[in-house]
Amino acid sequence: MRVYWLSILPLAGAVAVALLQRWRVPMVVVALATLLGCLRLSSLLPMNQAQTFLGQQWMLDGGTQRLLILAYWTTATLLAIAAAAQQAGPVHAPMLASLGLLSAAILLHSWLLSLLLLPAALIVPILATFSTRPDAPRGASHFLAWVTVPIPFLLAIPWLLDQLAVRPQELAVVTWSAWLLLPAWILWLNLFPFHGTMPLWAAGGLPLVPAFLWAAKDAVVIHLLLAVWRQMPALQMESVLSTLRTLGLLTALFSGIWAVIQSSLSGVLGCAAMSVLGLVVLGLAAGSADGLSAALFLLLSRSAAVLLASAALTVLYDGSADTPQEARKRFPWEGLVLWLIAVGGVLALLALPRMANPAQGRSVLSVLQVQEPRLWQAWRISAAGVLIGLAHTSWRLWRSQVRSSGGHIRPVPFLLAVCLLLLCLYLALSPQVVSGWVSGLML
Amino acid sequence: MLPTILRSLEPLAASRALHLVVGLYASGALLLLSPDERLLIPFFLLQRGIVIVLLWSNIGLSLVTVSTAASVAVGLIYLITVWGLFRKAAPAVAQATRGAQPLTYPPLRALAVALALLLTHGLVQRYAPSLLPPLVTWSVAWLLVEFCFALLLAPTPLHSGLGVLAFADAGRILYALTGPDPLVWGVWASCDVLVALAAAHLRTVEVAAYGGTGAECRETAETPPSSEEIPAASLESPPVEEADQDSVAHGELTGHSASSALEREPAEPPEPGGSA
Repeated sequence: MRVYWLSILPLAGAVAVALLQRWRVPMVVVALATLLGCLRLSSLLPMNQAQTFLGQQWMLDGGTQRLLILAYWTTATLLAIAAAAQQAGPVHAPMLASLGLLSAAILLHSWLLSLLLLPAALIVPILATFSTRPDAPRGASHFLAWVTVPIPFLLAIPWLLDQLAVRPQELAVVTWSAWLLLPAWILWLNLFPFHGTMPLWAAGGLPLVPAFLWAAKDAVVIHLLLAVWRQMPALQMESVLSTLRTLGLLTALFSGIWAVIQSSLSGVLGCAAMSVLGLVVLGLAAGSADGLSAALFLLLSRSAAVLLASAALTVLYDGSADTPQEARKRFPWEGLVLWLIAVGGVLALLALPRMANPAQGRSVLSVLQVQEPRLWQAWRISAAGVLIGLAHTSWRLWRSQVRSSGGHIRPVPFLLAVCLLLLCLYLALSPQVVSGWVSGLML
Repeated sequence: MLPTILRSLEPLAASRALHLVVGLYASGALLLLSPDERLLIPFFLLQRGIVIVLLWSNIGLSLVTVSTAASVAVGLIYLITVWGLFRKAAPAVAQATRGAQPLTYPPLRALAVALALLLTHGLVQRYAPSLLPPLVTWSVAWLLVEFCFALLLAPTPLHSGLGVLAFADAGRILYALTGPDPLVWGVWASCDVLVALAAAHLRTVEVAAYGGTGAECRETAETPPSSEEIPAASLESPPVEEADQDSVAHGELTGHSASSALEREPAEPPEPGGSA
């Protein structure tokens, strides 16, 4: 087996799943088997050996392997939840196809081609958008409008650097190239002023696709953009980093404030996730090893919290409703548990920046505050916004969905959500596990 | 016959460059002016054809073929989507388009096109880089301005998709000057097709959403529910005293899937403003 099979296998799986769309059980089996095969393959393949395919070099290293394993587990969890939920729509094939393209982007040795494949990988999940509320297509439409925009800017970078080889005295070319990387950071991560796209998308339906993008896409985008900086350190200029830090701070602040006017818990989850992403970007743009470690710790923990909350919300929304007479007979304890898990997931997102990173012995906020003194006030305002949004949307959710759910929560997705809760509790009690993954990713 | 046409098209970029650029402006203006998604396809194909002919001498026949194939695929995807929507769910399409009413107002769109032309003129006069030939500068500036206005005025995801493709064309013109790599060009062309697929899917979902909520509105109007019946009906809808647009719009999980909503053809056009 060669490295490029890690990309081909999910793509082939996506085709098979699309063909099996009408037969639910075989479709789910093929999707999960594909992911298990990818997981097995990623641990068996030789490391640090370049292989040629389609005229390009493909390589798997330690950091890439860890990132892929995380992406596979994340996708498998989401697909299992989607499979168990009756109303989840056709998400399996687009997610697998996106994962295949993301894998190709990670494994390819040519950063330019990787950064071209990335928008394709980001467009594919849009095909999994489903809703009868216009918000989700509107959010996805905004996302579609922005993700391909960075391509021309990225293609200009090698051309500009070639100009430098011809005319070495024109050092301004390096500055321009550094700035040309900024649209990719802003648009692919949906930073301020595009931070409303993802919560809008999530608010309009089950938050499965947004959760995939938050948990898998963000990690891959950050990995690739950091790889560009590692390959060309001259592009990591202080002026660009400073702008990124400002955008990160504004994303953290305004995403939280926007949560106040959300009408669904999915939307509040989106705002909280974007707010934490703002902090992650602050850490990445700090330009120090401490900032990077704090940012990656926050990113991984955020993925776990987002997965937990979105899984619980999906299962809760999927539950059928009782008649009021039936609902009164029995306390809806399954609905209550799911409601608590969803609310707990959002609260965990707010608590994460104050959690101590075992590798550093202090909280992420205190690490980031060194670079950005206004961070503490901004985060407090943002957290207050999320709490207000959480209070009124969770109350509405309780009255509309939980109280009436009776005993009609499906057992398999309910158990999946509870298992996810136990896993997250384990991670919360032993943060050194997350810290170990962070050091693996930083290889 | 085809080789003859191809042979006659190739030298056009040199002999009729100005006409082609004027054609680019005209087709872009028509794209911006047209709120009707049925008219988008010919205007898009015209604009894309002009861009391909303009680039022909720089990119060669093989990349021209790739670009043409991608453009035809985009056109087909749009055609099938629009045809399917108007055939199966015309009332829902009308309601979805009414949701973006101010953006479909012709005088507003005409004013926007005039503003776009003025803005392009201003941009080129003020910021024209000396590195680029004048016609390239005019073409790229127009496509960039068209992208911005297409997104601002987009009444449907199909319009947004074409705006994105106009931006991609602007980038492609610049990239063609640098001696493009066929693999990069091919990946970029497949991104175009993916953008069209995604835009078509979003339009379908959007129309289904309006169809779904419209049906639900009618059901609600026919049988006014009691305060105890409401909570079970929607994702997070409040009880009847608070039932607002949002509670209706959240009907996504009451058995109305996007596809089933499309398949159900409403008997009459749903009332405007029946959705969020």
